[in-house]
Amino acid sequence: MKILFAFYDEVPEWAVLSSEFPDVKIFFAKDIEEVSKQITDTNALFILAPRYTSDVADIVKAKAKNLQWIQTTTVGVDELIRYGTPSGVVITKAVGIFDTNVAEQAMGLLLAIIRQVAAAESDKQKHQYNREQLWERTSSLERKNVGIIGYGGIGKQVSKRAKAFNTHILVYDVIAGVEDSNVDEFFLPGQFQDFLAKCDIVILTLPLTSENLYMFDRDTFKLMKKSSILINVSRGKLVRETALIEALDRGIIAGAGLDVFEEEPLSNISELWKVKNFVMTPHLGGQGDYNPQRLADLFRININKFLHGDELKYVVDVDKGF
Amino acid sequence: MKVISSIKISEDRLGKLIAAQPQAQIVQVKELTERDEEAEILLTYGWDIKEQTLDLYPNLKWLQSLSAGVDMLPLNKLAERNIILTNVRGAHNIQMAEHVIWSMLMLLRQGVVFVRQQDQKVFSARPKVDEMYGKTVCIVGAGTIGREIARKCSAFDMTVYGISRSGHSDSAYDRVGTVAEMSEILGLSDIVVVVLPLTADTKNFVNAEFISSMKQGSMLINAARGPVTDEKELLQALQSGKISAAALDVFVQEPLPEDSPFWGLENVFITPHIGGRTIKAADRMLDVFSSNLSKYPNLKGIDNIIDLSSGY
Repeated sequence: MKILFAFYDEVPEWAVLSSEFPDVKIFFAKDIEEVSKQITDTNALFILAPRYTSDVADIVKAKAKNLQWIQTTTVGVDELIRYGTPSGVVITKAVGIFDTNVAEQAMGLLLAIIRQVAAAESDKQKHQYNREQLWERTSSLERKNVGIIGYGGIGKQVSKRAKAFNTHILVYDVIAGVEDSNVDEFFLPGQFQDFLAKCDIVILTLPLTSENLYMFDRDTFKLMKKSSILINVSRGKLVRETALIEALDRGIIAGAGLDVFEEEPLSNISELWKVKNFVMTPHLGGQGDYNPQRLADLFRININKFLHGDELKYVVDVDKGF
Repeated sequence: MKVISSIKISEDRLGKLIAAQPQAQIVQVKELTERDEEAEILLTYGWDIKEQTLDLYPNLKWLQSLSAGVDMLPLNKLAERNIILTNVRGAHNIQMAEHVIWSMLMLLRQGVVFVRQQDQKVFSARPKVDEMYGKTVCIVGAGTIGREIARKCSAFDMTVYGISRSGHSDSAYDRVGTVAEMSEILGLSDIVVVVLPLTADTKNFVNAEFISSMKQGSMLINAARGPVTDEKELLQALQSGKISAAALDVFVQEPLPEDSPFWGLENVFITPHIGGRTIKAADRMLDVFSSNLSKYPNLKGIDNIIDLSSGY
């Protein structure tokens, strides 16, 4: 069996898997030329979903004659659905690996806005001690209504963390939630307006599908509280950026923190960079120092299942899109 | 009874205080400079009280400070005059803990680096992002603020150690040690959070020996009082990399002077003593005073009395 890690330099935690499975050969391809050369006899392609571009999809469809399995190293798989994979190829996603990191990123972006990190850092650059100004502008999470849209693994890690800040947790999901001590109220489709009207903070932790493209658009922002803050650590295309810029400029909502964007990298000429009450990070929500090990643990399980012909863990439902 | 307040109280709040104690006559002043023989109670943040200030109020019975720390007050003089001192222990817990977790996220997940990148329109995920998950934090000063920090750290799946005088176990922590066990616990910790009250015993508590016990490359958060750390030693540790990064909300000299070397350090996140300060905290602090005022003149029944000899 040949496994190809596409767009990766050798990762020691993963290379070592070949010594654990004598029938498995592991290769790393760091660019598209290398992927193209290596793909023909590859049985399993391991790839970061955002690197599955239309060019890569074309190569895979044309040349990957032996491909049976694609394992993403991300939890989102929308690029694979968009550009398509050869029929019969099983896609699995990396569930659970990034949950705590993305939750930390969501809390970090939120606290960065609420506690004015940009003002603190700008004062530091100028060697200025502005206690009173920062005091006036510092808010708190305490007793706020924190809304979480999409209650999968990431949403659950967010609620656990946010709950510790003495907040009220509201969850909106398409599937009814089970009992969860961190959640105060569940909302289902049909209750979206009520949900948004209650939230002081809205955190997006849902997968991007054809159904929810631009779910945060001009009309959605109007349903939110003027004092509310939007955090997106999921996928950029859940939020129409022009509408967000307008909402922030006109005070329709009070702040936003994004880790993901409609187009990445964010264009140099985007107005988002400089819009007020806005904090951004460059799509690294999932990053953390324990990830290679966590992924290796998942790969180990799935390689073992693959070799035994068992059903793999976290198979993607292509029709649903996640 | 006459109350002099050097803290600005909103109309709304004033009404609530009078409701709690109808006999109170509350006078708001900008500065405590005028002699007043009728004043029995002083309400202050504490920074404006010197020994001479107390001489202006010969009949003063009770001083309510709306700070958690009382290190800035003339404790000996208060003891000599038999003036009861109360603070607002507890009122800052939630805000302080939120501040500390924010600081931790900014350090571990490189928040400040990304603020700078945004300012310069740089979209690069190259700066290495660490996790709070799985890290070990040591809270030095396992009091009520420490407990609230510990609770939040646990929600982030951290291992939480505490250091306290007694070393009494506490369910909010995985382990609480005494000062005798401190060196061992510091050596196991990725992040050290200092929330000690400043007293004669805790001045320069974070000294060369303390720092040398810390793990190589660990982080420090000081949300207590500046003089709890020996700034010279701290500076050196930050420059050498022994301490890889720090979030400092307090300094020996505040405002931090423009020429302080801390400003120029890339690995230091500076905030201007805002740990406990938000609008809601102010509300909670006045709740403490209001509850105490309603019991007055029964001074023995009031909350948060400071032991003037130990200073906390």
